[in-house]
Amino acid sequence: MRIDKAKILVVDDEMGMREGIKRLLEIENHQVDTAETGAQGISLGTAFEYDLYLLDLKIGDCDGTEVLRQIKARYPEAICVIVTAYASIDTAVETTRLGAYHYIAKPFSPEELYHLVGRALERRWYILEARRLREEQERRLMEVAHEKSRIRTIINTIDDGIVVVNQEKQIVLWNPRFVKLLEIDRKINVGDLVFDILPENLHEQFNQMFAGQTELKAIKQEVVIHAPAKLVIMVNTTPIINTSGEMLGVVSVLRDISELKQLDLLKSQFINMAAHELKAPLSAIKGYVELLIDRTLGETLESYKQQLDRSRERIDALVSLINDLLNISRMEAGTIRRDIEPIDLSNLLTHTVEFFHTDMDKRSLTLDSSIEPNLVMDADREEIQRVFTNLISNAIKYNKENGKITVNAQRDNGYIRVQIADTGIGLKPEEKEHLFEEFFRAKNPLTRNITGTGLGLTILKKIVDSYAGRIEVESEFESGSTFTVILPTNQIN
Amino acid sequence: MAQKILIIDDDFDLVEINKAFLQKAGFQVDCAYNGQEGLQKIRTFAPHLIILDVMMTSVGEGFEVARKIRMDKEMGKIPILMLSSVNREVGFRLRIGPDEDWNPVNAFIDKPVDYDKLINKVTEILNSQKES
Repeated sequence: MRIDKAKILVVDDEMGMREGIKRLLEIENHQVDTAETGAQGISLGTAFEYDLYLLDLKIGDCDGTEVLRQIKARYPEAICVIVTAYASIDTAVETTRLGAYHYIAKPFSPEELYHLVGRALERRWYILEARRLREEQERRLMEVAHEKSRIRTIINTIDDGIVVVNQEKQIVLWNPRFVKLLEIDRKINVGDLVFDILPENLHEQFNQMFAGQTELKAIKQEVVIHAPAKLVIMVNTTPIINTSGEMLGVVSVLRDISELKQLDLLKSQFINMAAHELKAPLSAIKGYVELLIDRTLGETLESYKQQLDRSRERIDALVSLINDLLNISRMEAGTIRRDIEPIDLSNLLTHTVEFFHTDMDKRSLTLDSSIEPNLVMDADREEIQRVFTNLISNAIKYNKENGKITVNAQRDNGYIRVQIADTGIGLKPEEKEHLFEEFFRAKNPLTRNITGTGLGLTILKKIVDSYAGRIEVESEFESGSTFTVILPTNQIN
Repeated sequence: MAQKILIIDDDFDLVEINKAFLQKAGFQVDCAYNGQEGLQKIRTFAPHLIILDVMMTSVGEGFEVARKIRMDKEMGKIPILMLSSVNREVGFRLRIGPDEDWNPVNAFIDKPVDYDKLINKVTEILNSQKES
């Protein structure tokens, strides 16, 4: 192995020698630079690392050994061949101590030159190759280190607890989440027995793995940890298998699913409540039907009418309830399509109030409304309409005969504040507390004949919340309630 | 003298309907629309049996009322028939007594109520009370 097109510097003050060497080497396809003084040699030779330096030992202005010294200082691996006269062979030998590769005595034949240059360039090739390998190795090591730290960072950042255990059941790797999740208060060291670290109800999975009971397949299971904190953890334990099928260890991924379990529980409670609420009107309707069939309450037209009226009311309530349930489900699934546009709330409120005029008259309610004009906000018209229709309808339903309804709307610093007050039944403090909960209805002798799904205000609150607004209630039992809705005029996004 | 039954239920319609059927079957009926009113009426009306709804103003109010009745020296022995629209198997786990097996009610009847069944159950409970 040798370098084919080498870059060579010839430093010689004798022009014949300089040009002769240059010509001979150029025949061999090398690229040759020349310097006729020691200073020029040093300047050229230390500015660029040549593959080969041919240095005359006796240069007019300075000692060739100085040129050698400077070049070697700059490039310790540089290959320098000393060109010397017979008379100074001793000095030339001396230069090998200073790091010269070899020397060649003048006069020399082209063959002698070619032979030496060939050997020198071979040497150069090995040096460059070694250098290349060294650099490559360094680069690889850097990459490995980088990769290792990258993987480490990923493992440490993952929100799942990870623990890796070897064949000897010793912990070899874990992440901070693992420690935090299980609230392990002792320091874990590589080599600690996994059973000393894990809570007992997690032992079973590892036991099965190591006993080979799972025939080297993964185990996935929910585990409830009671202490120190109550957690439900989904544990996914997988064996690490090598190419010949042996188990080298086990990796376990632990995910905290307590929140999901909690949601699950809330969901089934909601279903229970919904089932209860659906059954109530059905029970009443069935009861009235039975009474009609049975003629228990006599056969007067009056009693028939009354029972059928009540049945119809309960059927209507049942339909509203089902609609509300569908609404809530759509809101939670996020499948409601909204058309956000600037809407004139002043207009909307005025129209809504007008719409309820007849209902108010029926109960002899007086209306006092003060709606600031041009209250414009970004919203879905239908949703906002629902909020205020519901609140005004409640103010009528829960009012007393000859009572009063006050509707106020005004601008309030980037928000619109709407107040709807009634002089009706009002709420007890404990009722007020649960008012926005699903299926909650204030139940007392005064509300006995008022129908409702118990979901109206829940839906209202969901709507208002979704606009980053607020709904508040002030109330006094038997004297009235005031609902305040505060909505931002502009929607971000 | 007719046997006295107190209905405690927050559903106005159901109270009316149950009352009609029970009266037709020859019982003397009074009603209360929430737990508090119910507990008062037990003392004044002194029923032989109480028909209690499982959920009234708040979740589990029926159980709460049943527990209060059972803990009481005077009214503790009055049989309770609980009307429930929540399937007990999937229903709420409520702490209703000193331990979970302790059941403060004598029987459950699911809503919507089958009225023949209701009258039969009421008669059965009252008869067994007489025997003991």
